[in-house]
Amino acid sequence: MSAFLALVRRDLSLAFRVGGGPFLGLAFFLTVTALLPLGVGARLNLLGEAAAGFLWVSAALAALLSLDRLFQADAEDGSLEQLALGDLPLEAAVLAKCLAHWLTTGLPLALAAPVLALMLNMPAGGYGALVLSLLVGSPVFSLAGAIGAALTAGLRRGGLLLSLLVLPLFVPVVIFGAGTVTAAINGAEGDAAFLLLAASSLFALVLAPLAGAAALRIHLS
Amino acid sequence: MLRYANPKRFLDLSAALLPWLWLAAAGLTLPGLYQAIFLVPPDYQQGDTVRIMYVHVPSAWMASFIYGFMFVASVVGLVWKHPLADAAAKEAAPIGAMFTAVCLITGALWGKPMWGTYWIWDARLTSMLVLLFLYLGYLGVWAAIEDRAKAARAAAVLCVVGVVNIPIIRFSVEWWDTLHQGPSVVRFEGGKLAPSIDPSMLWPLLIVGLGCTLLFFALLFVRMRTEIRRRRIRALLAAQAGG
Amino acid sequence: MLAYLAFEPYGWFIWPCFAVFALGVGGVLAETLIAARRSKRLLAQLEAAKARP
Repeated sequence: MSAFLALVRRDLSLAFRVGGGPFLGLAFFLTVTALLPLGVGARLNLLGEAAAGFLWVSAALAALLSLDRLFQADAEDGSLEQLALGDLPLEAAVLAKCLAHWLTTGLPLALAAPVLALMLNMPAGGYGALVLSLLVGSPVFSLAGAIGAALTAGLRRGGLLLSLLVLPLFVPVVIFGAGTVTAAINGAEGDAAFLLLAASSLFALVLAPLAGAAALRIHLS
Repeated sequence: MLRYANPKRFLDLSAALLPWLWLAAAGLTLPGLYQAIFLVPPDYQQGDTVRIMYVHVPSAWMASFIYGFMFVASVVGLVWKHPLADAAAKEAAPIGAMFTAVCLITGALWGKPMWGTYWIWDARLTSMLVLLFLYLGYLGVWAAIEDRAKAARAAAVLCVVGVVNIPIIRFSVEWWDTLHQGPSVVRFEGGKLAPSIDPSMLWPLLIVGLGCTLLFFALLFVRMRTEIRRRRIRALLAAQAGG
Repeated sequence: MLAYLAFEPYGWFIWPCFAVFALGVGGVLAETLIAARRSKRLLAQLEAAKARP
C-alpha cells in the first residue's frame, strides 16, 4: 500500500513541478469554454442547451492533453523497467498513475465545472448533476486513457495516435455523463444515466490496469 | 489448427483454395449486384433507392465480421502465439476499414433521398463511425511501432480492448439515440436501414453478402502470402547484411 | 434501357453508391495484387542471388 501511495505522491509532485499541476488543465478548460460562444454566437439559450455536453467534451479533451506524458517520461528514463520489476504489481502501478492523473485533471475540472457552466448559461437544475457526474465519470478518462498511453508509450508522435485510440473508449462515458446532466436539467429521471455512468467507471477501474499493464509489458519486452 | 501454423502448409492450402475463392466470390457478387440493379423491383416506400441497400448492408456486415475475425486472430496471436495469427489480423484490417468507409459513404448517399439529409446521428451510423475509428487506430498502431513483434502484440491488445468495448459503445449510442428523439430527427418506419422488405428481395442481399465474405478471404489469403514472402525477404536481407 | 438505368430521380445517389463500392473493392484488390506481384519478384531476385555464388 505504501508503495502505491509513494508512486501516487511521486507522480503528483512531478505533475506540479513540470506540468503546472492542475492549472494547465484548468486553463485549457477555461480557454475552450471561451471558444464555444465565440464559435457559435452568444445566444444564451443556445449556449445553455449545449453547455452540459460541451463541458463533458472539454473535460475529455483536457484529460487527453496530458495523457501521452503518462508513461513517456518513465519510458525514457528507465523507471518503467523499475516499476515492472518492483514490489508493486504493474497493474497496481498503472492504477496509481491513473489516480495521480485524475487528481490533477478530472478532479479539478469537476470542481471548476460549475463556474464554467455559469458562463455558458447552463440551466439551474444541472449544476449538482454536472459536478457529481464529472466526479464519477472523469476517472474513466484517466483509466481508458492509460490504456492508450501504455500502447503508445515511447512513440515519438504518440499523442495523435493516442487520441484516436482512446476516443472510442470515451464515447459511452460522454454519453452517460452528459445524459445525466441533461436529465437533471429537464427534470427527468436521471438515475439510469447515472447508474450506467457509475458502471462504466467500475468497468474501467478493472479493465484499465489489466490492459495497461499488458501493453506496458509489450514495450518492456 | 496448429498444423497450419507452418507457413508452408498455409501456402499450400491457400494456393489450392484461392482459385475457387475468386471464382465463387465473383460468381456470387456480380450476379447479385446484377439482380440488384436490373431485377429487383422498386420498393413501395423507397423507390429505386432500395438498390443502394445491396451494397450498403453487405458492407456493414463485412465491417463487423472482419473486426470479429481480427479479434479472434488477435486472441490466437496473444494466447497461443500462432505465428500466422498476427499476419491474419494485420492483413484483414485494411479490408475491414475499406468496407466500413464504403458503408458510411453509401449510408450517407442513401440518407439524402430517404431522410433528406446526408448524415444522421442515429445509432447505426454513429456506431459504424466509431468502428471506423477503431480500424484506423489499429492500423495506426501497426504503422507507428517499428518493432514488428511489439507492433503485433500492441495491435492485438488494442483489438481485444476494442471488441470488449464495442457492445458498450453500441448500447450507449442506442440509448443516446432513443433519448434524443425529437422533431429534428427524422425517424424511418420499421428500422432505418433495413425497412420491412419482401423476402424475394432478400436473396440478392444474401448472395452479395456471401460473395463479399468469400472475396474477403481471397483477398486475405493473397495478402497473407505476400506478408509471408516479405518475412522471407527480410530474413534474406538480414542474412546478406550480416554475412 | 438508359432511361431505366437513370432511376429518376434517384440516379445521382444510386450510381455513386455502386461506384464507391466498386472503387473500394477494386482499390483494395489492386493494391493486394500489386503488392503480391512486387513481393514475388523481389523474393525471386533475392533467392536467385543467394543461389548464385
